[in-house]
Amino acid sequence: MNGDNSQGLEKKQAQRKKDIDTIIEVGKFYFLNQKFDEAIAEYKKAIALDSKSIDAYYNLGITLEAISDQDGARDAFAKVLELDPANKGAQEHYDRLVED
Amino acid sequence: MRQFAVIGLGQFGSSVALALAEKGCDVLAIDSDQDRVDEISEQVSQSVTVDAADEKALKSLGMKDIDVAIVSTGEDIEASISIVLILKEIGVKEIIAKAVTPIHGTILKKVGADRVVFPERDMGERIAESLASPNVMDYSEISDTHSIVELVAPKKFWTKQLSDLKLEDTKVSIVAIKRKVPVITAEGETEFREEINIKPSPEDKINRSDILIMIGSFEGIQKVRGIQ
Repeated sequence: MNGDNSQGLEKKQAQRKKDIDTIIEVGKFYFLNQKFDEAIAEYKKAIALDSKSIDAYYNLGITLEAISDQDGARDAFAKVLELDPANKGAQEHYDRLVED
Repeated sequence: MRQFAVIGLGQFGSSVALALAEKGCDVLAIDSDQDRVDEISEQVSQSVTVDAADEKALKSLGMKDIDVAIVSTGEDIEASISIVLILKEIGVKEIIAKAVTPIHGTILKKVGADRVVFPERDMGERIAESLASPNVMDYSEISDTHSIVELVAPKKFWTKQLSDLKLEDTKVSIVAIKRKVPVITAEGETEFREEINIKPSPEDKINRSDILIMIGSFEGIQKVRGIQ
């Protein structure tokens, strides 16, 4: 019985991860098409589902930096570094934004 | 190749010396503090530990061939004035001196500095500009009446052609557009590439991610900054 429950939970978690990945991919699609507001909305949707999504914060940071929202981008990269201190890309962006 | 001497290796002086060296210029770096000289010695062509305000010592360095000397001992006002005087006497072609107050700047000019810079004041003004108006990315006064400014493209400008902006009344010219173009890296990550369009044509359209580099009078730029 317990086995069934944990299997069900794992399945649910896997599905949730898949949903978040799909949302982030949609965000990337919007970003590449220079639809920045739509991209931001998608990444925020992903963050609402998983407040520890490094990918969502990272992509949000890139998009905000692209539209010169320095403060917003800095906060997003800071969040990535809080979740993954060794994230080289986020560190580079964060350092550049702090220097600016 | 032009020969440079940087006297005083504090934050400003060492930044100037390193930036010149990075551009492939010959740089003689001078400071009375051995540690400061050691810190920079490997990156510049020559470095010397000497008290530059000591006339004999400075003259012994053979500064005659130096094209431009940057005197960045600003905090030590007396020393900077002495150094400019000595350099003038040696015959250095161009002397640029850092000043900390307007009076200091006036004296440096009077004793022979060809140009006086106020890095702290200039940086303070730039920071104040960008804090007062977050859409200003950079700001620099080019005369008493005109400035050059990097401004995040106002919403009203998005998707419009330059010719439709009707900036004639403001007498402000957009001299370049910096654009962040979204890309995907080889690793599949999102990124952006910065492109710069110098002297954009009237048909060029403004994008959401553009930064406009504009030149104009203070009043004109103020008007454009007021556009949302």
